[in-house]
Amino acid sequence: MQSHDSQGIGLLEVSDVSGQKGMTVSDVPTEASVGELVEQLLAEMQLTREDVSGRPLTYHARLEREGRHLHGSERVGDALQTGDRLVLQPNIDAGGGR
Amino acid sequence: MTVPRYSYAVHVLREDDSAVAQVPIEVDWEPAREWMRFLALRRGHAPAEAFALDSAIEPLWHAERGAPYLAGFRARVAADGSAELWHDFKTGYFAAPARAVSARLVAEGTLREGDRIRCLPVAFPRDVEPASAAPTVRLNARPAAPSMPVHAGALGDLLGRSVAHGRAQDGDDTPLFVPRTVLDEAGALAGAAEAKETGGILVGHLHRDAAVAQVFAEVTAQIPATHAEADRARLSFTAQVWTDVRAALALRDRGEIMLGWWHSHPVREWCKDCPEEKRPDCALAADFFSEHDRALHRTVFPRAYSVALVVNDVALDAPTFSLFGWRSGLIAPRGFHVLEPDRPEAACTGVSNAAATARTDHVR
Repeated sequence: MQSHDSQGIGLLEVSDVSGQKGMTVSDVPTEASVGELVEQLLAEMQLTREDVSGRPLTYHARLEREGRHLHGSERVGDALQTGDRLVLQPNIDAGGGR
Repeated sequence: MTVPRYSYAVHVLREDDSAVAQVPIEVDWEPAREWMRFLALRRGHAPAEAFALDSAIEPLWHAERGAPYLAGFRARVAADGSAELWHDFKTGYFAAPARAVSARLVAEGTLREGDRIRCLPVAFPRDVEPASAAPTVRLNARPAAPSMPVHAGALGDLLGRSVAHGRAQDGDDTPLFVPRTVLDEAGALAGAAEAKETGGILVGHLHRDAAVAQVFAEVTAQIPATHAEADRARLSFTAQVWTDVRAALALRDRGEIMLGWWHSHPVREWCKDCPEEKRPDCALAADFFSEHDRALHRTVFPRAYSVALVVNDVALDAPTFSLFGWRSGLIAPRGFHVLEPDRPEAACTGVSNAAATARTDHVR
């Protein structure tokens, strides 16, 4: 496990894609990667993390301020600012099983 | 509220009651919790309060077999200063993990395909919480109230301007109203997609009728998922789809929320090689909701009022519509109301009161 410094992003607003679930997050370690942040947010928000076959679902974090999807390898301290809003957006399939 | 915690498992028996295995299961309690939040909303709690409620869950023991065998479980919520609200969930809630267990036992060779078995959910008290993996990133996170306006409304007004469609509505279902134009649009898009699936997002408003302690949903539009990736039996809602929908909602600026989603089943393509006389009775032609469909609904639309509309693009006829939604924490086929543009208004208060009294939540 990596260690991260204690100085973090002051406050983030995070929501799921439908806006049905939200969370405020404070003190996000700046050295964490966006991928690590998203992984922990999924757990905190009790969002589904696997598809029906048990494979991990892919979620993108959309940064509203810049209107773009963050890359998982980006560093929190480089990509995010206090007050930012993130939307967690899955790539997910309907259909199948026929 | 102090409630003993339990570990849950499925006890698998053969027809003669001989034991096959007892397999621990992880139960997804979130749909049950969402159901309780919705019941609280229906009972008059403010959305910010209702959607933040947590539930205490305790087993209900089987009347004849006794503990550890379950007849179901009870979920309770108690908001500050309010009466306690509870709801009893039946063992059907454990059907999905039980299916996974039986599939695993077949894969391991413990069972053979076609063996007749019974799966009984069981629960055991546990003193120690199971260790969870240490988080890579420690977050100071708090649930935030979702932006979920619930408008005052009169259920009878919409009932008077609509006609019931599909299955009879269960008393626990959230009444849902869909304009005929939305169905027409979805049907046309399904037809235009021909052999491929297509879909979109249903947007609209939540209303509460305090007179009958009921929350109901009114769809106002469908937003096509133009960036979805599709083939004849799959529809991928990509991240770009969600970005488009959120942008469309912002542009519309009507305070609408995502109430659910729709997608098509190109049944005419699936059944093109079937004999014509068998097509009307084909299981794929109506009320078919795949495991992938269920997973999408659970992932993106976990709130208890959320719905999924299926457009069955059947051969030889106009498209038909099936609706699925949450009922006691499970996804079930259900009915809805079609808002007809030229239907004269009629008084339907008696209907709404009847629906309210048929529900299964309790307060004390």
